[in-house]
Amino acid sequence: MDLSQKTLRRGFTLLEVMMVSVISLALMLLLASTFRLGYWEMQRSSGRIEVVRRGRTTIDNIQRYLASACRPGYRQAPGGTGTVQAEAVFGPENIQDDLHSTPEDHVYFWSADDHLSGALPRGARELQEDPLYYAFAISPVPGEDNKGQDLLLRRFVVPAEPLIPQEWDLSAKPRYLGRRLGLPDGQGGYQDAFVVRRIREGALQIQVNVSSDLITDDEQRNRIENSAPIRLKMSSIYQLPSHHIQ
Amino acid sequence: MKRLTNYRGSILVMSIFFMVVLYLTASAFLVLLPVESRAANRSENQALGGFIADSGVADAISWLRYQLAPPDGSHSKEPMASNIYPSASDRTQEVGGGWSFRWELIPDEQTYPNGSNPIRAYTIVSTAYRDGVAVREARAEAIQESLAKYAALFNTWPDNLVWPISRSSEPTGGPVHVNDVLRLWIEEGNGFWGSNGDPVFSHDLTASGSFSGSPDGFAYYKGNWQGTNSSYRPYDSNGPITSRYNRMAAGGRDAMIAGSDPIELPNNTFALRDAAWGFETSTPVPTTPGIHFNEINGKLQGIYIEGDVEEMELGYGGSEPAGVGQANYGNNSWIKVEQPRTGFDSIDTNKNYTVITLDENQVILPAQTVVNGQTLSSAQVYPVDTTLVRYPDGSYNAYPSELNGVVYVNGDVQDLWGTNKGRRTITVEGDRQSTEKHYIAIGGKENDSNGDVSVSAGEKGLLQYNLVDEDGDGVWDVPKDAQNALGLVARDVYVSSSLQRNGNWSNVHPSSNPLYLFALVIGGINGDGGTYSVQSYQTGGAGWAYRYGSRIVVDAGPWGTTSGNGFRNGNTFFDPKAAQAPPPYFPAAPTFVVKSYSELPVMTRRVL
Repeated sequence: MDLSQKTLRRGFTLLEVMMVSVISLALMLLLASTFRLGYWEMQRSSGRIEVVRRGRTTIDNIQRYLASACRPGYRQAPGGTGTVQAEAVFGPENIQDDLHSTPEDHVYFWSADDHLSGALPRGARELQEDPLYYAFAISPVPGEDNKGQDLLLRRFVVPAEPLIPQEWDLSAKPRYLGRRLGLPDGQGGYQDAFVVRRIREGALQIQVNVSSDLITDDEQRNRIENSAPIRLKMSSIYQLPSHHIQ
Repeated sequence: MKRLTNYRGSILVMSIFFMVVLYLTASAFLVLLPVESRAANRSENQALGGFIADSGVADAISWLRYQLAPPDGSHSKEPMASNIYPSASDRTQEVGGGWSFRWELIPDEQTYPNGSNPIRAYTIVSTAYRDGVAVREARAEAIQESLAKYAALFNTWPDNLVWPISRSSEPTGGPVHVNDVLRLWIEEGNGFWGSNGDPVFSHDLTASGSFSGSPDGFAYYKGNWQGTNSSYRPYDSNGPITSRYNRMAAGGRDAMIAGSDPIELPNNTFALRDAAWGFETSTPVPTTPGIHFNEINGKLQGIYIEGDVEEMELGYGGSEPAGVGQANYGNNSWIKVEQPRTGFDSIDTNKNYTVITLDENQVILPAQTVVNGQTLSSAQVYPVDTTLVRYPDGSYNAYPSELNGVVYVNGDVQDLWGTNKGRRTITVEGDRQSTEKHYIAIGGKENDSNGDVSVSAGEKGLLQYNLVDEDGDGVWDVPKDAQNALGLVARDVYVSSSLQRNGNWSNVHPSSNPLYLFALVIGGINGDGGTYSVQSYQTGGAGWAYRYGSRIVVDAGPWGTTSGNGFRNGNTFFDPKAAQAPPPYFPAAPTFVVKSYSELPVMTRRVL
């Protein structure tokens, strides 16, 4: 549409200026509102991401330590009859291919490296001549101030062969692999931070459950407002290095 | 004031402004939305990288095995030799999807080219790359598998030989393998099945051969071979009898496997010869009879003996004439050698070689002792870590370092006995292509005046320093450590018939004075035969013998008869400590075992 010469000469009327202003204002408000919503969503997403990241970091931490699992020598056979070449992972003991079976909440494994002392890894010859292996557990404990469950790497006292470890080594300070994990148990506590199934020889399905109830974001809005908290089940199947599979 | 009169295009400017704003908003969302997706991708990449790095470790181990035991039967190659170790590009493998791995071997300080231990140990570093950028790295500490890990390993099993199993059989304590059909004899039949006790095969039992017609692949004397009595076998017409298998093997039927892969035994003892004389020396091996030593970079190697040995005694402490008096050896370990040559043939009269390892005490050689060709004007103190060699003429040589533990004999050892202190491997030359077949005969203290061999306690067989009998059963316990482990490697290792008296075993080796044999033994040369057995086992009644340690044997040999002759009584004990820390240079298989493994993300940028 062309503007008439007359209009050009006269300029905008007041009505025209007001209409333009109102429309512009409306558009600006719409834009601001969109930005606000986007920013809000971004921050809410940050909270979601924190939940996801907490679970994923925990799984990555677990895998870092499980990758060092190796077979230590001869130990009591499961059930206690005789001694067998011990497997790298000695807990859970039973294979649970049925994913609906009752899971365990721990992984017990042997390693040639003492992850809790910071000592340098030993060479193969040293390990052959002085086969000192360490036994570790990854298992949950109640979190501080009842804030979920924390996942710890702890060391066992290694008994003389062929016995299998049972006591914690209190001289080694545990290491946190994950904090504020787990789902509310309905009784004011938390449960199922760490769910483990041995699905076949040499493979572990590990699952970390996380909830947005326990996110630590400072901004309250980052919680899921007016909706149920997010519950995430993050799982991974861990395969032992091929050299250590029984 | 000049009035703007042309407003053309103002709508376009506003439209562009709003479009830019909307574009920025949309872009921001596009950036935000796939955050979780990218996190998942990163995790997937890391997991894949871990598997690929692991593949690199497997590839490196496979390559090592190929070098040490070429499938075409050619000689083994030294993996780290400059003309063998592959270039970086040859150690890099594309695996598809943009992924590749590259491995490298880092030999430890005892492995070529840093050292000369034939049991090689490497750190294998394998890196997984995605599009040429390092993602994940696996490090495996791998070492050649020692044959000492087996409680018993036999290459061939004669079809007239049985492995007796009875209520008194000790658990094997370690894996048992036969590259043949294994023939078992359940001596007491139902008496054994009904008895209490730990399973006899406490660890894996595997056999490469399979007995035709046997459901489990094993032959059972009187059960399915030379008889069909069901009380002599662990199965019946209904299948496996669980309780019987559980009594026989830890893990039951599943722990007894026939048809498994064979395990290769050594073709010669040359690696031990090199260990005794030195791997990297231009000095030729001696050819004159006697005892010889070689130093490389000031470090003494092993003991090289040219010619037959009439008697070799292992011991510690005591004294011998030296200079104007006696040299007191404190609690130090020694080995005495006499040869069938005049002037060298009597330990009783000190006409022998003595090699003393000053492992615990200093030794003072008195004045007038000839040491290294010089006569001492006054007594001389030799500190710990010195090696002294006494010659039959009473002179000494002193070396300022310790031996590496290998004793190599280019001949037969006709009588070996004593108490071993320190880690030691004694071997005689053997080669599948050699026409000379040397042996080690285990005997006792020889009376040099008449040649008789003692059968008294402490003067026969092979004992070990620091033995204890804590359980008080009258039988020495299994050693608590491997500090005094002894290895024997020969084409044939015999318990000598010189330990009989008037052709009798039972009277001279009763339960109150049994024969002890503390030694890890490799008897036989692959491709040439050979065994670890008892001479004259067919007669003489049943004597008592206790064996400690691994038995690696090419042709399984007899120790007695089912009718009750030879060393039919006693027991065999596995020595787990010696299996884990075998005697020096004790031969290894071409296979590698990974002792530790770690796998981590690569945190610094590296490219192929």
